[in-house]
Amino acid sequence: MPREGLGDIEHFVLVALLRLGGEAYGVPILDEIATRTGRAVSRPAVYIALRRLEAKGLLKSRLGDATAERGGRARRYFRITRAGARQLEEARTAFVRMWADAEHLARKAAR
Amino acid sequence: MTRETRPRGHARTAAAPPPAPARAPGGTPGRPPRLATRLLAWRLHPDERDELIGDLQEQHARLAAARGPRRAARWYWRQTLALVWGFFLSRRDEVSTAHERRRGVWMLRGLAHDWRDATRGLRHSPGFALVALVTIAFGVGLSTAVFSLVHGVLLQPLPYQDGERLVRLSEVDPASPLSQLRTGRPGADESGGSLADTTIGEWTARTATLDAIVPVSTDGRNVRTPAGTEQITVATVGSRFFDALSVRATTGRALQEGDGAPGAPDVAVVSHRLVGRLAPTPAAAIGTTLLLDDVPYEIVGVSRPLDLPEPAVDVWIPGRWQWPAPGARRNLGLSLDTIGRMRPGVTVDAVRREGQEIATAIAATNPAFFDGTVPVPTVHVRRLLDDVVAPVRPALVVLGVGMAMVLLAACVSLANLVLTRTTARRRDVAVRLALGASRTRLARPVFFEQLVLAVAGSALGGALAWWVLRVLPSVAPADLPRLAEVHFDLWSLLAAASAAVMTAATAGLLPIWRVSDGRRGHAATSGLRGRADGAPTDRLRSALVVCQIGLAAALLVGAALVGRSLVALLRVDSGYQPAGVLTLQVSLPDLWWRQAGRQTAFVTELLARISSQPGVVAAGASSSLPMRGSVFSGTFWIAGRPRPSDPDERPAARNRVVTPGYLAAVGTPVRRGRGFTAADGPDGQPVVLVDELVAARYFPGEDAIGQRLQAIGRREWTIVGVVAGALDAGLSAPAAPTLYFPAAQVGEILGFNSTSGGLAVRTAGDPLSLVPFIREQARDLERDWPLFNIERLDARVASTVAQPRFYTLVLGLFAALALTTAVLGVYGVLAYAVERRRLEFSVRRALGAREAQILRLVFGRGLRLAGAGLLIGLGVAAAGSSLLRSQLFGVEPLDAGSFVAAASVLTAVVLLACWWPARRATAVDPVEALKAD
Repeated sequence: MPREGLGDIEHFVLVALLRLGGEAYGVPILDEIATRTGRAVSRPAVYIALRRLEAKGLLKSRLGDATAERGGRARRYFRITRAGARQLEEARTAFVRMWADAEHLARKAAR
Repeated sequence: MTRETRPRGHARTAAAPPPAPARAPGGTPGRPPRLATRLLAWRLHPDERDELIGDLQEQHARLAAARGPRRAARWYWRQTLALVWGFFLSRRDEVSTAHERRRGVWMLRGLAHDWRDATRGLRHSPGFALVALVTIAFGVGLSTAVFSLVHGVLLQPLPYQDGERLVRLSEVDPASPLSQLRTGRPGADESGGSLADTTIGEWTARTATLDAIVPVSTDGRNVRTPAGTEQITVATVGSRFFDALSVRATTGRALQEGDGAPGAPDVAVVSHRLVGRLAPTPAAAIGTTLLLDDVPYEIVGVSRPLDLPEPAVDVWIPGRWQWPAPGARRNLGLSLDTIGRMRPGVTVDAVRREGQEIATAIAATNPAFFDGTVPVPTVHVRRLLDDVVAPVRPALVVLGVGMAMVLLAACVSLANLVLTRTTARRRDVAVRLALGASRTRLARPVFFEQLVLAVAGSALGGALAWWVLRVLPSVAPADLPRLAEVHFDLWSLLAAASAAVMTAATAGLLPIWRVSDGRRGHAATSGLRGRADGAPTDRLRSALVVCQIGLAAALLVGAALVGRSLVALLRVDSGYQPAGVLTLQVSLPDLWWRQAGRQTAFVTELLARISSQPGVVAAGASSSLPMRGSVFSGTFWIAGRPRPSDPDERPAARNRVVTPGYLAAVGTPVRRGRGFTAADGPDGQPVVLVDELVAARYFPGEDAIGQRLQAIGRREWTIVGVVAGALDAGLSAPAAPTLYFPAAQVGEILGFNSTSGGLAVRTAGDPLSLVPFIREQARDLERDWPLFNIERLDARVASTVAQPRFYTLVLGLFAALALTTAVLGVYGVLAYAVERRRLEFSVRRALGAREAQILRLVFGRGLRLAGAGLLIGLGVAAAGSSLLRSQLFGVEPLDAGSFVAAASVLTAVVLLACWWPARRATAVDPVEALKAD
């Protein structure tokens, strides 16, 4: 049975994780999304997406090391699960198929 | 692998805005705002604090290095608020994360959900919610109020330290005709009773069980305050009175040992109430002089109000008693109310045995008096609390039991309501169960709905109880003791509320457990069919309705009994015609009225002036006014008859000394012979009136008129008339034999200064409008002696039935509530059954059943329920009505009329409840119903 699709932010988060090598904590993820999309993304939205993805079993997390600049607080590292990767792939395929030969239409409509 | 990727990620993000590697500008990197961090720590779950705050601080450090601490701080605050707000918004609907679920946090999270579901569900069935709420509110509210009342009056310790060690000491001569007259019935083992002075002295000297023995007596005296002369209650007490109660003076000192000793100065302790009228501050009153009936006392202390020996005592003065030695020859014995304080660990029984030994020993040293014909008095010791509440204990126990039944009825009704509602959900439950939902998942919303109902209902009930307890003092009989000590009892509320919660939860969950029990598949299909075989819950609900009817029947019987008893009381002939009669007392100081002739002159002149007023029909004075309880009693001899030596056979009667106008004023009719006239003066032949009881008891079969009695003053009095018997201790106590003497012939012993002597005036108009005139005339004749106990006689008579009236009202209310729940129950069960049997009814109609036959089905069911309930209820009532015996007057506990009345009312009401479902059943259209399924 197909699960519900990925939300925008969830999608971004998963891709960001992929680009960061499959495992990363909050700061790089936020940075990655901000850099790539070029827009300020809501901080709680990202964290909530992380939790939703974990609840859905698309991510796993573990507690990591603490550093002084973090005020001695531990990082939480997230890693994509197999299911996560698969769903991301599905989502990408769906997008690509939807977009096939449609980019110029969008540009035209925007003009 | 992860270890390697992280630095890479880091390196990439270093180029992103907010950029730059961690660099300390000016050596100290700006620290993140501490308040914001605190806010985050407070709002975030412990599991995510480290991650989120750490990430934020890491970025803050970078930003502070790149753009300066101020911008970084602003940024930090924005992010903090965004996080807090964003999480707050999302959490309302969010699926919880895995690590939270493991920790059970979801339970709390779910609460908001459950609350929303429950309120939404209830909003969708407002009828159910309203009826359930009202049921819970009334059940919880009234039981909280009633149990608070019972607790405050009967159970709560007296408001003194070690109050349970205080006892009332008394001795009763069981054979004395006077003691029988005083208490109205033989073998007086009720509250009150006093101790002879010889016994007090001996017991005080020899006691090993008591810390203190304190005689107390109260009387009214006049006190001068800046506002004028008023009458107050003064208690003359043993010097250790305050010791015994462990009460200290709030200002100055309490009475102490040595006060009241020969030669000691006259001192007084006054109450807070009084001192406020005497001096600006309590401290200013200390050392000043208090004039009681013009006798000076030095105020040495101020005490909180004690309500001991009786309510509204304002001054305590030490008694100057000298206890006689046992066997001493005396003309007059003194008997005083006495309070004792037991030593720790001593039992009431040990005190009683000690007292009895002492009483027996005193009898042995006084052979002249206790010559074998007079029995040794029986000593009674009872806890002061029991003594105070004894008169109302049976009634309050009845109230408590009645309330418990109402609470039970409310719980049963609630269970029934909830069962109906959840049974209606069976289909839904069965489907969800078949789809694999867990029991807990299904039970949770139901449980929460009931919880919301029960908590909201209990809160309403608490408010109701609070209000009831607030208005209680104005509706409760004034002679209910300790009313001021009744407070909202939180434990009663909690107990009643938890009964409601448990009932609702059990009834709510039961059907779900049933459906999910074992035969899942079967239940699911039966539930799905929509004509669920609700037989088990149906039977349960019928049983509950039978319970409701039973409780209502029992309470109805109780209400009918006390109601009939009240009617019987109100029909009693008091021996007065109380409408339009004013009674009042004048507080004359002791020293004043003992001066020869002054009192008679004052009263005679006052009565003459009152009589001359227009509208006054008759006016008179009496040594004891009607319905004031205390009447002087004495023995007498009948001329020409042997004088029996057995004290049991000595004629005894109450004695009233009256002026000629008194009988006409209060409306006691002269049956035969004549009343007193002005001619019955000091020089005339001594005459006396007897009442019908004296005539019947001592002159059966002969004419009492013309007989002579030796009574007051050892003179011979000739009976000139027979008057109707008149009641003095309330309408329920039988009249006592009474002799009436003319005041002019008795002389000074008008007894005007006794606790009950006063004036009675019969008027054609409003009796109370005369009061200013009487006050003015009294002042004109002498000085401003206070008038007190100004009362209409009809109000006085009504106040003697205030308690029966109150209990009838309350039991009637209880019965009405139980009846309402029973009606709702019957209606609910029948309406549901009719709904469920629509198909059956339509088939019957289609097959030619007449309307009457359908009606018979529905009414038959209702009547069967009513019959079963009645059987149980009347049985319970028959078994329990003896509990009411002490509250009943002129009605037997097994009064057939009351039982029949209760059964008729109940049956009629049940039939009424059947009506609407029956109409629905006959309105079933055969065709439509057949089509539908």
